[in-house]
Amino acid sequence: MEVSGSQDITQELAREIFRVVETGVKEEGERLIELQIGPTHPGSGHMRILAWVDGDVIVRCDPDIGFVHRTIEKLSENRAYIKTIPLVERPSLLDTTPMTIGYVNALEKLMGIDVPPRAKYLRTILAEITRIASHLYGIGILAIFLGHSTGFMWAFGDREVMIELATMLTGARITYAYVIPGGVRRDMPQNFPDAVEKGLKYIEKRLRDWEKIFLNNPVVERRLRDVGILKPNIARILGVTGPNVRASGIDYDVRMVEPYEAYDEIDFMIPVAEEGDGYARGLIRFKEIEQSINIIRQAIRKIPSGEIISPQISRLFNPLMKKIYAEQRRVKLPSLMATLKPPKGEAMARVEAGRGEALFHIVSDGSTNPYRFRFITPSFRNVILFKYLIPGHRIADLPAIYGSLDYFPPEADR
Amino acid sequence: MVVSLGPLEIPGRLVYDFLHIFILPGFGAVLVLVILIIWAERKIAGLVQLRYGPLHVSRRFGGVLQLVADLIRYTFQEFIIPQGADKIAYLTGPVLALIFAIIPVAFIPVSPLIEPPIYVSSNILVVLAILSTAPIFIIITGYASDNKFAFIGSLREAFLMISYEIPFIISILSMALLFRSLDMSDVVNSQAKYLSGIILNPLAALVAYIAIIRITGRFPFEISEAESELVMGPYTEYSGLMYGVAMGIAYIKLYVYSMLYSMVFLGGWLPILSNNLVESYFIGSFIILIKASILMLIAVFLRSVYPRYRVDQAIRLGWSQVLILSIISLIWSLVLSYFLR
Amino acid sequence: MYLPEQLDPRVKELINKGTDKVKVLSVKTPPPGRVIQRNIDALATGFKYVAKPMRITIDYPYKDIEYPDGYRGMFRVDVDKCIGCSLCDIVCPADAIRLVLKDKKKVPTINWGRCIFCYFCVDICPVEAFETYKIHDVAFYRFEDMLTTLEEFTKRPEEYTPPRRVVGKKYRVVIDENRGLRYESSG
Repeated sequence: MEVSGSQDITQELAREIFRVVETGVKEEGERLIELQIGPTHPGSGHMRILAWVDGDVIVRCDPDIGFVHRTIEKLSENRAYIKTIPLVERPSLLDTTPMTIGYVNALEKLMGIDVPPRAKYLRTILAEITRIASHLYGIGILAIFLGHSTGFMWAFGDREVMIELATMLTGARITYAYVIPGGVRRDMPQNFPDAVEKGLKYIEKRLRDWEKIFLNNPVVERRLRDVGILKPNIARILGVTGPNVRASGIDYDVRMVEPYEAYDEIDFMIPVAEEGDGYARGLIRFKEIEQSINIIRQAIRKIPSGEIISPQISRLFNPLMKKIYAEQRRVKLPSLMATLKPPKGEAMARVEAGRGEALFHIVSDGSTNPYRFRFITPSFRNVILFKYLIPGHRIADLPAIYGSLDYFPPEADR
Repeated sequence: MVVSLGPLEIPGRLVYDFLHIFILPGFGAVLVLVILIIWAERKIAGLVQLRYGPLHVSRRFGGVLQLVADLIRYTFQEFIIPQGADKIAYLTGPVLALIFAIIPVAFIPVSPLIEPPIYVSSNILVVLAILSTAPIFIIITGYASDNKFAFIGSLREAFLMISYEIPFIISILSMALLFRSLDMSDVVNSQAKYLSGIILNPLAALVAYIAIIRITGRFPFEISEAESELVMGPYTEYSGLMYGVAMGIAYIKLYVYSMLYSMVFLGGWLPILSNNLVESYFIGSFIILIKASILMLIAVFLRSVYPRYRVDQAIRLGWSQVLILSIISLIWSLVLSYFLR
Repeated sequence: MYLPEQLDPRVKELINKGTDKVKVLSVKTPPPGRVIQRNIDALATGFKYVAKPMRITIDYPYKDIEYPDGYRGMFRVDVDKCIGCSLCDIVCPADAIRLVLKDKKKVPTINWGRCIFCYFCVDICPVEAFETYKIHDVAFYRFEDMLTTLEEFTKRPEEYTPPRRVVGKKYRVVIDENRGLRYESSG
């Protein structure tokens, strides 16, 4: 039976596909070559891809992940709750803010702390700035895997503008540790809204050049059209998430289904495409950058004035801390933060990171360290697509599909 | 129309051969031009990509000597021969490819008054034949390294060599048909009488340029050395000075193909004609080099704009569209040659 | 592997919950065609940048960047202000701070190899004993030099040995509408 990841399936056919792809290829023969696109390969990232190739067509593909497993979940069991905030940023190094927002949301649910509205808007602004940077990285990796070095350099150059904006707001370039339980750590500087407006205008201007040199480039179209088609019912069965399913017709985005932070007060839309091939996935990322620009503009216009840290925490300030908060709008941490003891129980929170939905689950037993911290990243849920989407395509389609899925190995391995 | 030098014939011949092969347009010009073109490729890519490109090595001249620094580094790098490789083919493959890529320079005339070092009356055909054998040695290098990625790279090179050499040969021969001669000097003199080849037969010029981009491995046809799919194609296992040689082969081929193109399509040493021997040699070769450089600059500019094709898409393009265009250009040459007496 | 028909009805209700609130922007991929014009557009866009270069990078170390205010760089301790509460050691996520005894008071020293510059210690200090700077690129010759003694931790980053050797003028990063990032020299 023809094995390919892009067929319409019914119940029996699904079972048949899973059985055949599992046991289809047993050994190397005269026609079959086993390619180990290993960790030290320019087109593989931090993982190994085992591909069995018949001539030029891949008949079976196995991703081999786990090379950058850093035991984040186990490390957090031996540390206080606040020390896990920088730790949870490190796996997904491109969109760090949604990860910290998720963790701190779960912690706030557990402890019953309310967040003032200005802090919610600031968190939203930083999350959307990080989302633009993450999508630009995904587009850059797609470009370099196709061989388009200009797309790669342009993506990283434009991403630099967003990183300079984040430096103005938080003080660090990529790993901000900006979100703490109860609010945020610093307030916007005076020149921030003007700088944000200029940066957004620059990104909009550049998106027109991107269209001409990358999206409408005939060679890019030939490489990406009808490559790696993901049908919606296969996406539902496999449980994948993020812009990959939004390019297949499923309209699901955590920011709208279960709004967190300031997303329920901002008016934006979710781009959804129907085709499900690599070109649609790349196009959806460009449209999401435009939507993020819209969200940031609205948030900067609508941001209310007020506190940036919850009164439950700011009443613990000593006089020096209150003076610094009033003059510099910088939040000092009271000593309680170092030894937070939430009540017994568990809490869950989910956020929409750049690559899909991330889930955070904290189980506390009343001490200063969590009993169990579990978090599921979107790239971990997308790994299964390597196994079921690639067979049937050619060797040169493997980097094209890899780049269009925007899979980031350290995020999957945690 | 070779000018006779009387009693100075043989020493004059030796001096001219030495200059032609070793200085200009032979090894000396190849070395200088390859260094400048690789620097220009990286600098142009840097300009398009919002950055500086090579700058540090010789700051006052914009980093021109970067490739010299790279070659010095390759010379001192350890040269590793894999254990399972076929030693003779591994060591001689790139060297022979280089030799066969650069031999045609001795056949190309640079002045209407002096014969090239090896004079054959059908030198277009000889140059085409020698240039077509260079890819065979690239296939041998890929097959001799004990590596699956190199093997796949050689397969791709073999497929693409067949699909794109044929349209190139047909388009060059259509120009020879148009000007009724297989000798490059006669072709250039005919272009002086009528119009240059690119205006008379633009379709053949386009087809020949696309074929040149494929044969020398410039984007969007950089398929046999695709870096994100196969690590370096046939040259995966090379390090040290052989790596420098392997990287240089493509640019030397680009140089020789550009010289052939500028003789057949752009009018060679025109529009300067002079009767002085020394002047015609120097000025003629400079003009040919300038025309070849413009073609090379356009070919390396494409790196910043295009990604690479998939191998079956490139083969399909070669056999369906490029071949048919070259046959149409042949028919056009036949029709046009009736009117050019 | 759960096929849609086999799911528990309560789970099905959870999956579809909230999907009526989603506002969708339908995106259509542009149809293929117009090949020659798209090729010429791509080449013209590339050529536009060759004709008018717009460099977004800076020629470090011949030019130096001055970061905006509030940038998290290296810092030093003021031993007279420190009260020895050891909160900085408790809160450091990377265990980079080590306390030493000086005049019966526990004062911090830092291991620059482990510090992640999160500034939790600076923010939790109740007496503001840390003085912060905007310099982050000090290089060390030996791994052991990164574990500072108390005397070294009271030095400013300009006084570290080996000295930080950046030979250029300082430039400030300014966000610009047309060029992205522009560098203005800051006197």
